[in-house]
Amino acid sequence: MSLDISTNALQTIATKVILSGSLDSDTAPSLDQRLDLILAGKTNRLVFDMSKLNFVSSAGLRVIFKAQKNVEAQGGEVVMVNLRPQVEKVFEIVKQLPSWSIFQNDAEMDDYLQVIQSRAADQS
Amino acid sequence: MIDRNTDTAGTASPRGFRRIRTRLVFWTILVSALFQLPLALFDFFETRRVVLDAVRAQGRSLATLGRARIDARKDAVEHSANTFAALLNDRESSAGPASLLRKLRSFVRSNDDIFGSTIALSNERFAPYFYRGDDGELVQQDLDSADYDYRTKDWFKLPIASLESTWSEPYFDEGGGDVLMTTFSVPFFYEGELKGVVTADLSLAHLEQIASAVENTEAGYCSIVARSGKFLYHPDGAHLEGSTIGQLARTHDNAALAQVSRELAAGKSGFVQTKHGLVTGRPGVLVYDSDPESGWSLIVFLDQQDLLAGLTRLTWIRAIVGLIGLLLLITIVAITAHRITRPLRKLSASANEIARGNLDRPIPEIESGDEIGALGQSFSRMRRDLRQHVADLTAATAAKQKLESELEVAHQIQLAMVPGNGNAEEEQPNFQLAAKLIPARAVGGDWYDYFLSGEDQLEIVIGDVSDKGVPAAMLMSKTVSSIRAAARSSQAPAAILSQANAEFSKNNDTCMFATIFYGILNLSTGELEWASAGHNPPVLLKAGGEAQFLKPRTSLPIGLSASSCYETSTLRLEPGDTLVLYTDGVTEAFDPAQRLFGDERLMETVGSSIPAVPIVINQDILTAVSDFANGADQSDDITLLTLRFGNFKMSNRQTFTSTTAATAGLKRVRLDLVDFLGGHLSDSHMIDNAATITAEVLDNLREHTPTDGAFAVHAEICDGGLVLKFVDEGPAFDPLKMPPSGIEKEIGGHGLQIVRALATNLSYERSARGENILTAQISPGDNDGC
Repeated sequence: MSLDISTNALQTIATKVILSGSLDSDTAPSLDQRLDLILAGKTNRLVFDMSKLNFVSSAGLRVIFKAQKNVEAQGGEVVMVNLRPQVEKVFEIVKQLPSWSIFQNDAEMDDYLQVIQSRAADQS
Repeated sequence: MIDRNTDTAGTASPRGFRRIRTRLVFWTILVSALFQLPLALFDFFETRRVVLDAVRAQGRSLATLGRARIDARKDAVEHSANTFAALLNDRESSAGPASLLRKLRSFVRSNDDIFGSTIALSNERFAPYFYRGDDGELVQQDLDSADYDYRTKDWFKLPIASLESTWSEPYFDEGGGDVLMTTFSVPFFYEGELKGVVTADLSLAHLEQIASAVENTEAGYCSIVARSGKFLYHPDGAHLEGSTIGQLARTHDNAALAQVSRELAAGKSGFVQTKHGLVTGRPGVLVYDSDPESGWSLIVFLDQQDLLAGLTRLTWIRAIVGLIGLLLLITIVAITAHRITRPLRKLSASANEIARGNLDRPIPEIESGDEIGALGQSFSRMRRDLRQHVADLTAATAAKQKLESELEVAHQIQLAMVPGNGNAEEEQPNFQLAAKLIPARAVGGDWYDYFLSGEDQLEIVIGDVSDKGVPAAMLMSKTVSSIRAAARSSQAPAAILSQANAEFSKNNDTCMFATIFYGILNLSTGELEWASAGHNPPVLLKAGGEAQFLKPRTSLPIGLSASSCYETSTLRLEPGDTLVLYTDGVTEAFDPAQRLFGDERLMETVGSSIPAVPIVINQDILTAVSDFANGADQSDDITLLTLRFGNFKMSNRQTFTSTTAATAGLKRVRLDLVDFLGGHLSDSHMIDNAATITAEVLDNLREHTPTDGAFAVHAEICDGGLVLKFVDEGPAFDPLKMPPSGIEKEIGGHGLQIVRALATNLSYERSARGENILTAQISPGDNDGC
């Protein structure tokens, strides 16, 4: 089982990371490297699209938590969308989600992004 | 000399120093050298010493002889001179010159020892001298001449001064006889007044004659030295010209000669060893002898080499004879050793032949009659006996094979007497049963039995006839039949046992007995009626998981007493309760240290069996016993009958095992497991949970075990439930003892938290074989583990 990672800039406010496959101790390092590259840029908001992610282990969680920690330190945010039941279950087990936003589907996420964007527009 | 024939045999002939002959020769040479060499050396030096002693003695005797001759000559001269002087004493009338001349002439003529003589007057100048010329005629000479003043000569001055007769030092008399001589001077008197001196010359040429006579022609030479150290005679005339022995020693830097010079000056006699004789230049002995009176000393040189020539020859002869003797000895030893070992080599070849299994080749005849001959006879006997033994063994083996094949048939027959041929499995809607019979030998006294009776009754029996093997097996078959017969006519277990006891006790002359457990389970109600005839208490494993022994009231095995009474007890089984019947082959299994498996281990094994279904429990017990025995022989028959009451459908029971020898293979193990689960489970939650648990456990292993540690994962799907066993050989590590990871903890380290949440049941155990065993149970429908 492997992990495919593709990224997608969502306007200017977020980077969408699309994960598909298995996020485990074998594949976690490649995601970790990829996220380091993304976060080295201006991005401080990550959106993980996990609709095609069918497996996650604690090693995978560690990478995502690490990214979350880094992003939040810069005042950013990590959100996730389209979690499969097993993946969501694992996230729930470790209960490290209070500051997170998990969206059930793309529509919810789009709403959220819109809010963020308009907020950003207001500020400027 | 190695016999090539022996080399073709299996065992190589010994070579080099390992061979007896080589060793014998070596030790012979060594020992004889050790003894002979010191002896020869001692002999040589001792002989040399004796010879040298003899040489010294010879030298001394030569010196003594020479001395005696010289003394005789000197004495003769002295005597003549003294007599002549006495004649002149107080004879005024004879003082006339003519008379004196006459007397002097007749004195010289009549004394052959005297070379010449003079009468030298002290108060007148008168000194006529007669000496022997070359032709022997007397020659007269006047010593009072212009070129020879006798008054200045020692021979005249010394006796005048001392008034005593004196020997002069040797001198070359130029004015007188023109020969090397020494002079004896005697003063003579008239009426107490000194008149003059009478002399008698001793020609040293005479001494030469004496010395030559003394000289040992073979061994050396002789020389004569005066008191002053001057040579009176030396074979090498060159030294004579006024030189002394001291000068000679200095000139030639000859220590031995210097010593002789010193000793002679001190008036001593003796001998000294010298390395360089002056004349011969070869080593030798100097024997010196001094005469304090005359001061004349005699030195005899004896050539050592000449004297020791005999000794050297003797030594050579001895060495050659010794060498020949040694060669002879070695030859004899070598031949003897060869003769001794030749039959041994033959025997060795024969033994190799025998070792290859060829018992028909006769042992070579050894006619030596010695120990080796005896050995050869022993060999022959051994070969005969071996042939006999092989024949016996072949016959015995054939007989044994026959017996074994009979026993194998008996084994099959006996197993056929119990349901399932000793390996039974039953799955019914309201019970599951598994039974196993493993005789310690081909046949045994254990058995089990079960059958349905009446509407919905299951009767179960387990029994153990005392002893093992054929007798027990025969009695077992009889007992099985009698119990079945009793079961047909009786309704209660106690009655059945009583009936069987009565039957068994009949004609039981061998005093055999049997323990039996008999139970009748009502499959509708779960009510179990049971009775035990001294049998091991069954284990009752409740559906809830706790295990206990079913303690019967004390009862005797059947066969001991025809009047034994048995009681029926009643017990209600709940659905899921399991009853484990066994024989003492289980609890009395020994490990290599002769310890018993025991009740506690049995209870533990039954209690920890997952899932708690009969086939698994039986297998777990057998594995535990086998692990415990650890190679020790099975001492008794082992029989198990496990019954689970209630509806527990063992559908779709599947097992999977994947192992890897190194952590590098862990990923493959996980993928294989997920494949297996996907193929046998429809519940995707269970598969996901199992995959997640496995991933976490394996990640944990990667951190905590050596990279070359063996690892295995066992999965068992049973009735929809899943049990995962992770087995690794790393250091003891109980992940469950780690504190649960808190939410606020550092990022990571959630593996155990996830495993705990996803597994229904989680247990860790460190096996006796040094394995970490982590067991995770995953239940269907348990998809909300959190």
